[in-house]
Amino acid sequence: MITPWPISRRHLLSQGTAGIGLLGLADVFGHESPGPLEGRAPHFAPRAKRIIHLLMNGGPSHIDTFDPKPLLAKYEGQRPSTVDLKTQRKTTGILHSPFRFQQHGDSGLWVSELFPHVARHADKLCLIHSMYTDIPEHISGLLMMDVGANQPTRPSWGSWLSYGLGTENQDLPAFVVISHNGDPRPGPTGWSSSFLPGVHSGAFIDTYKLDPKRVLANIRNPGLSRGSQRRQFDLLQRMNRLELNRSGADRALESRIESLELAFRMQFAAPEAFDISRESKATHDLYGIGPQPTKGVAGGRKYGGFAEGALIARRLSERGVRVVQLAFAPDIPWDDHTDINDHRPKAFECDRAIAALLSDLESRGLLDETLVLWGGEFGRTPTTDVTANKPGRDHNHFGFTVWLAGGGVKGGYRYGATDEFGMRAVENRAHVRDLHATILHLMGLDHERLTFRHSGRDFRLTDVAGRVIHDIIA
Amino acid sequence: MPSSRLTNPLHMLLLVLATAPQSVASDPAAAKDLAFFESKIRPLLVKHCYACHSSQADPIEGGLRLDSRPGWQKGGDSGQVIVAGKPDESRLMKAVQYTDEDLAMPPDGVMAKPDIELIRQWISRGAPDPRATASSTSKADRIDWTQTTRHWAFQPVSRPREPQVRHADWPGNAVDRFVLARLESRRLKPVGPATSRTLIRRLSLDLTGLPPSPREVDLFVADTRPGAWSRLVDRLLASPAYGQRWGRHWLDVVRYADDQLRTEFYYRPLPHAWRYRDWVVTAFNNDLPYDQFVVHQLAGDLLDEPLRSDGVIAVGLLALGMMYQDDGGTPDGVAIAKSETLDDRVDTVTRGFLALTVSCARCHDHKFDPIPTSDYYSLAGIFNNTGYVDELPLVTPKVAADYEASQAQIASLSKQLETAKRAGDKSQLAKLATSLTNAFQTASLAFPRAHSVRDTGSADMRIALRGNLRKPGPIAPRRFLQALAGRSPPSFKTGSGRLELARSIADPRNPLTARVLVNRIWQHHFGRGLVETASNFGTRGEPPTHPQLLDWLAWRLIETGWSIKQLHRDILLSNTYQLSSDSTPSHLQTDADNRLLWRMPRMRLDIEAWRDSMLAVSGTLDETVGGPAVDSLLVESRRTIYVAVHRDVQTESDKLLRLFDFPNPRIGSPGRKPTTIPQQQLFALNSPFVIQRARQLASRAAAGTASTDQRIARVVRIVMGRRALPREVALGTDFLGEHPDRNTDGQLSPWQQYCQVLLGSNEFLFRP
Repeated sequence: MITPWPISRRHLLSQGTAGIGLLGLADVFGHESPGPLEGRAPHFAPRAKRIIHLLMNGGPSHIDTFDPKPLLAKYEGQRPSTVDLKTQRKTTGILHSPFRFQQHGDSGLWVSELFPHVARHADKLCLIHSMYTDIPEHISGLLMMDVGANQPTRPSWGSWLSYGLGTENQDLPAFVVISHNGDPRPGPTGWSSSFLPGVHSGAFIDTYKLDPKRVLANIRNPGLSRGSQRRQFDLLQRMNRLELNRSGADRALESRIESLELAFRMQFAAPEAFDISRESKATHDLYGIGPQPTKGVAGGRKYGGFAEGALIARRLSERGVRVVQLAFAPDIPWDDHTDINDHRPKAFECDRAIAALLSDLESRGLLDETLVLWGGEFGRTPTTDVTANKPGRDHNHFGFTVWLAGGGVKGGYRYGATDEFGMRAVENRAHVRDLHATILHLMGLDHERLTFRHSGRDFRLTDVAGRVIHDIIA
Repeated sequence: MPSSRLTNPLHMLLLVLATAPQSVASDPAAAKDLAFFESKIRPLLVKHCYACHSSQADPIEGGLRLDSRPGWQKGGDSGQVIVAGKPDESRLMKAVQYTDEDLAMPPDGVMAKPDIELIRQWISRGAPDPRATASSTSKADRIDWTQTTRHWAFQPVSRPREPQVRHADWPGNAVDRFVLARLESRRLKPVGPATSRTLIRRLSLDLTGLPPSPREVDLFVADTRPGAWSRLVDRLLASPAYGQRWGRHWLDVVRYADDQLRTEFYYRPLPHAWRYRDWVVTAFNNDLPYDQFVVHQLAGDLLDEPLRSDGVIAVGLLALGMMYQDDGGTPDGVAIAKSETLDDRVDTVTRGFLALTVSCARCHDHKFDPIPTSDYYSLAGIFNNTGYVDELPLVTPKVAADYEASQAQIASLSKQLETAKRAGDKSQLAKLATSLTNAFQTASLAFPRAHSVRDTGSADMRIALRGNLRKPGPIAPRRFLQALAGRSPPSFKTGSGRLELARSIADPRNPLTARVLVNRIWQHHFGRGLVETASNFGTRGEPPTHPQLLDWLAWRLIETGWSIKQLHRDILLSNTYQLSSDSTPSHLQTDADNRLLWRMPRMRLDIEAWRDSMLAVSGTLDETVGGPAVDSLLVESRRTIYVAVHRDVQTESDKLLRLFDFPNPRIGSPGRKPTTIPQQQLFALNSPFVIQRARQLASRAAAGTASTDQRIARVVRIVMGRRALPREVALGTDFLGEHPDRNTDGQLSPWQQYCQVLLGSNEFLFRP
């Protein structure tokens, strides 16, 4: 008997090759048991189907990018009580921003000269100026941003979304994390599924010297041609079905048969999705992609390859990957304690690609259903970090800015505010957990209902906190 | 938020006058105070404080209620907040003035200056407040102590009577009678028994994590004398591979790893962790009674010799736990790191041995189980008096000193030799070379060390309010849990109290210890515990499917002197264990999840058993027992338990473990939940590891065979432990074609491909 592939369970049932077992199972369950990644209905109508997180790891300065504070120049060198708060390191007087700000678009949002291309999309941006988090330290800050807790034992929000919604493309992982030449801090903890099933954990892809043909571990058989593998695979599945016939219905056996089918298809789908050489020259130019990925060092921290990552992010999102997290660069590149001017080359490295991503999503009609999040784990102090000769800024967990664009948020909108120096969020304060609650809400999930029972209690991404910021929803 | 009506001062005043006690209404000064309260203060409290500090708040933050006079008079967890008449002594003023960062309230931003001034005025006036409704719930009342007499898991273990069954000829032992009684209550019959080939495969994989060899299968199938099964059980329980298998199950529970979690400023490998791993393996192989297993791991360093010499290794359970670190930047960070480290110990010990989620009581009383916060700190206090001995010499001080001295001598001579070489002093050079050679020859051998613990004090800890160590509350005396030891049990007196804690856990009267262990053993034989939540027997855990069977086994465990091997025998000699794993539509209709145990569920092998089985059938398994961890399970051919486990995913080896549901070793695992994902299948289809095993299996199975049929028969016998089926042979010969060994361009030959198919097949991956 010749069996075509891929063999769907439906096909198995219709062929009756699995005999009474499978039919019995279908009778009993009345439906096909869903795979763990099969698309699931949200709690309510979603505003966004997918999310791309542009992770600015290291903590870019809000007061040098999107939250201008003209008073800084006036109070240069002084330390008014408003800014006299303890952060990670010792800081002294106020340091003015060396970057010029201008208003942009119909909305008149302020954007600094660091992001001239992003500024052209001002009317798409929804700035949240009043973010705050718990601890002015990178790992704690990034853990809060990634997993919603300071402990490294919770699932990341990407995993929660995968768990809550499944994926739109069964041939690719639901949650992909991209970085270039190294992990962003705190490494795999940041995309771990923790106690959620392992299938929801982020698939980490390093784009450094990426060979799309080898994008996932063991994606290709080193010793078999495609044709030979097909033949071998058919034998494997026939043997598996023989076994299933002998044993009677068994959910575990069946789901592995299905999983093998997916794996077989993924061998071809994943390399295609990561292959940016399939994009036109015009698209490469739009993102600022050259013959080789850029690389650079500023403030002792390396960066580079972001543009390629942004284009991959778009390709994945377009193919239905639920969550793409694109780290700016490995480790904590934005951590400019020793010279705030080091922000300049880093912004230069991502500005154009971020703008391109927004344009590209828009022109493909994807922006309405794709949420884009830009931000770091905290902001930076208006006061001067004195650990080096040049003026830099310390970590600031009291107040910082992130922005959203696309899927369901107001464009050209500012929410909340920091004080007159940008030290502390004072108006409409928004904790990182509030951001998480809002992201889930936009994706159609109620953060209080998305729970998983583990070690005796129901866990949530937002733990016992979180409030949806309804004001920013369009 | 108050409604507009209530914020109108005039309406408010009328309302006050209408409801205030007569004496107040007739006292003009008091009436004025109250009007002030109602018009100015109440709206502020409602707006800024009630969300977290009123009876509607859940939780009531800091235990403080500001929605009634008795509420604030009672104060919060940190004590009094308002001293009537004395604003400067009132913590409420400090809070609203935002002078102290830890005490800044309301949390969403400082109140307007005039409002702060109003609160100052109000307190100066003596804080007049007509809201007389007393707090209805005090924190202590929230614990439902009746659960200690109601909830099944807190009841003493007693020997249940074995139930009557209708099909009295089916049960082989007591286990079967309990199982059959439940089945009969739902009018179900067990399916038939498994074949002897299936049985030996099942048992080998269960007890040793390895498939039986073809010869072992033949011998067992041919053994028709009575007691063949029982002899097989005994033989496998006596195999060294038994401890390697069951020790690994325990290592999941105690979050074993060979290093500490990597952070930006800290990384510590645990180079001697393997001694604890080997101790666990040996404990299982020697059938160390479980009560001693408990005591050794919690307090082995406090036992007398000769037990102590192994005991200092056994306490690796504590010594290898997560050490949270902070760079010392902020006091909050330091406090969090310490409290997380303590929490790891409390959590691992209480969920591991008692299946209680005591850790949930760290910031507030347990919401569901009778575990007050003070009990959490009673236990945390024990670990707070436990220090870590990083590399404890496992030899006498003299041996250690001799070694250090000889090492120092060698170092010194080497240095002198270098100097002499540079100076070109030939006579000196020769002399030193001789001395160095002598030093090497007479040097003491390197000595073994262990990561261990010791007692460092005996101070009680204070409750950390809201889990914050920087906010100390009342003293929590070190003692056992009140849910198990009765209200206000005696305090622990000796050292840290660890030994007393260990004995309280290992006490046969403890209702949880035996039940929890019995359930863990059952879980690994049947894929699911009698209590599905193996590390949570609290009120929010699952109730047992067979409560009487659980109790009978727990009683038996204690009765047989806590022998785990006897427990295995009780389970394995049952007919229940020997059921077939086949299903029928009618059984599925009634009990699709097999909760009543009408069949033996098929279980996907964990990564250890699958990998070890591939090595075994391809004839390349390195059976060396114990010793330091080896680096990679992709390269090495040692059993998987001997591969290094990192708390961060660092290596390809770590990635593979996690891909196949190996638990995150930062937190104790109640048991693995097998997932089935495509990336796992990519490993089976394409990984060099599997392909290499396929090549080895191919040469092993082809040797000395004449025909394709013979080869297929041989390899199926090696891999599956059974005869090849006609349909299988047909599929195989069709696939292999005329030239099974032809390989072009370095591709796998059809025969090697066929062997890979067997290694990746469901039949090989699942325990039948």
